[in-house]
Amino acid sequence: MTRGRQLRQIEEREGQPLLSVEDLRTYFKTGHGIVRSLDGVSFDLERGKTLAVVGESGSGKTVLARSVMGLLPSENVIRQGSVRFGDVDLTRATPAELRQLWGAQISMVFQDPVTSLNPVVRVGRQLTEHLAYHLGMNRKEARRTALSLLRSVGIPEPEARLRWFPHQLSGGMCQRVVIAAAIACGPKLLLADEPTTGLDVTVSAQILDLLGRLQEERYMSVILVSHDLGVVSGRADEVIVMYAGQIVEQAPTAAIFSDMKMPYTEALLRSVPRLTNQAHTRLPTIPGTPPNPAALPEGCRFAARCPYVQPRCRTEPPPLREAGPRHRFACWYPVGSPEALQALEANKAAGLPAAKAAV
Amino acid sequence: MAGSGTAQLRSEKEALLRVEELVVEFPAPKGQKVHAVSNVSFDLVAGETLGIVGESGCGKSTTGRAILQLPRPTSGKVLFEGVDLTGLKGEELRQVRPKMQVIFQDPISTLYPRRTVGELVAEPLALWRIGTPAERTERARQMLAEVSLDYDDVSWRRPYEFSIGQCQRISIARALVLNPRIIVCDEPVSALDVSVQAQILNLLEEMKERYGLTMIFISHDLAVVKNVSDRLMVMYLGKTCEVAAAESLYTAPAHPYTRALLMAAVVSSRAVNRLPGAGLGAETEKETEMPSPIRPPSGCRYRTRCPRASERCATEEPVMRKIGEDHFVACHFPIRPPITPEAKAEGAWRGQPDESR
Repeated sequence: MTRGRQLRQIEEREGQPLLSVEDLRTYFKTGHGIVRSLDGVSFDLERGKTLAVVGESGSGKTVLARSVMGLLPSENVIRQGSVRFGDVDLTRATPAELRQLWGAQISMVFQDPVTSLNPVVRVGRQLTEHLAYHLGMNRKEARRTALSLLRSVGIPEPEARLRWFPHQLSGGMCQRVVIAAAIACGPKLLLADEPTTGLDVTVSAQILDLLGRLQEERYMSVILVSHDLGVVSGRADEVIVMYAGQIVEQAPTAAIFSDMKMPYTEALLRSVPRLTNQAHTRLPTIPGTPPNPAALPEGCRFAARCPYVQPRCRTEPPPLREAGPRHRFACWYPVGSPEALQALEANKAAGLPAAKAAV
Repeated sequence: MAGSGTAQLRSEKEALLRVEELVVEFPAPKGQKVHAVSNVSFDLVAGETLGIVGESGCGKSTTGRAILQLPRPTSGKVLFEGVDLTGLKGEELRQVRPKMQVIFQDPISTLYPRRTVGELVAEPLALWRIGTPAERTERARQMLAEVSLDYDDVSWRRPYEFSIGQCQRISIARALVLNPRIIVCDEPVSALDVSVQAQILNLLEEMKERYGLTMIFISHDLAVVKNVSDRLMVMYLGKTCEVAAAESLYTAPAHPYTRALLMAAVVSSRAVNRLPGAGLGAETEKETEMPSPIRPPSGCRYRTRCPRASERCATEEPVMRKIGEDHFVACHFPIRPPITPEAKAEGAWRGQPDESR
């Protein structure tokens, strides 16, 4: 296997982030017109940090992960912007180059662990395949590595499990195998797209702990995509909140929870049922639905559902503004500001449904 | 957990639904049996919501379905309004069906894709030959309005044209159109986003109030269940662990498994590491995998994972016993004392630390 020896080592530059995404846009051409799934997203990620991406279905978080990875259909897609990973621009990389990076430098864990494994291939081969491809290991070495990987992801009796098929494993076990495969070649960046959705609470906590531990041990950067703010809360250094294909707020995790500026972040947090709630608590909801990505409104995309909405919001899209160290948000009337309070009072007086729901 | 017993049952007169020693077994290869539900008993008084929680494979959905006789339980009694449903056949059972409805997890596959929404909602009425076609349409209009959908706008569309949240609204309208007494909600919000989840939970609460519904709410999400339930039942591997009023189960879990579940829910929130050592989190589970329901462990079924397990747990099955006001547990070594008030005050068990915002 000489192919593996050609593995491209990406060069990391001193003082530069590992991943730098700039004005990334991914549009899909559909029968309903052009769907702007990702519309001008920029962020940096340093080595060894975890970035969480949260948002509702359709907010573009999965498309973001796939656009970074380069996993998009080749037709009917318009891509713009750049994704710098070390010294490589992933948006310009050829499929052959990408193949060398995938698995080796960047890997991805998908939402459904059972379907991301090949059902007719034993666990062992699914793990050793890319060890041979990328690292040029022989069968013995690869097997030894696979065993240690299974141990490090906490699978009991790894020798026996190598001979198992995916259907013989539970969902949580499958996800551990998927993670083991993802980290096998020591990637610098791991994208986890809803890694615990569909798993039980107890299992989900274990998988997240596992990801956290592996990240520390291997000094990986992790992008954790999730719709559940509770999941990301204890695990990420920074959180990006997405809405209708754009970043509406980005902040260090603590700030997102204690000092959120964007009304959408606030509404999202409020609608989470909490263990401390009394029985039969009515949850504050976000009225309405996200805008149609093929016909986006002119101003702020959240305006139609926002309790603080003002005429300006409907015409002028708010730019991302700085609120503090590494804290950005896109809103004309940030939560907690006197203007926002005024706006909310005015909306309540005017009987705006969103304002009433926010009380 | 992993216990039997009937101490948690209230008097027969009070209960609208009373399930006694429910057993559901499925055939497995080589003459073995899958013990999906073993000896589960519980009851529901009118207007109450019972939450059933547990991991996948604990038998919570099977329990919900066995109440509806879908499929029939292997043994045990399901008394609904004093009548044992397991003894009913054919037409007799059919007559009871409109009083018991179910809402499933995946609303898109629940709704027949080739019918229009108007037909779907009015269909139960047509099956029961209730009213004239015009009256049925009127009733469907009314039901759709209840779930915030406009009849003229949606009645001619088909399910694929709707979002998953809207489909769940439609299936709620369809379930309520016959004025049922009991609704079994089998993970009704698990497939939904948080914001939509909140809308659907509020809707279910409203419907419950308006129609005086009695609900069985099955979910793996402890926070969701807490929000809607009066009483809770924790299940593990086909057995009942703990039955209690919602508040006391969350503040003072007595069964080690209940605590492990709560811990996991807490761990997935950020207040995690700041919880005091006492109360939650002092012990961790030994194992993480659930044993096979084909050959469940002897004695207490939770013992393979339980940090408190001793020899007694392997030989003697714990029986439900009362440990407090409306609080029952099946464990030889239940947890006492409850979580410290500081831990509770620390709050923010899920999602958001700051209550005051």
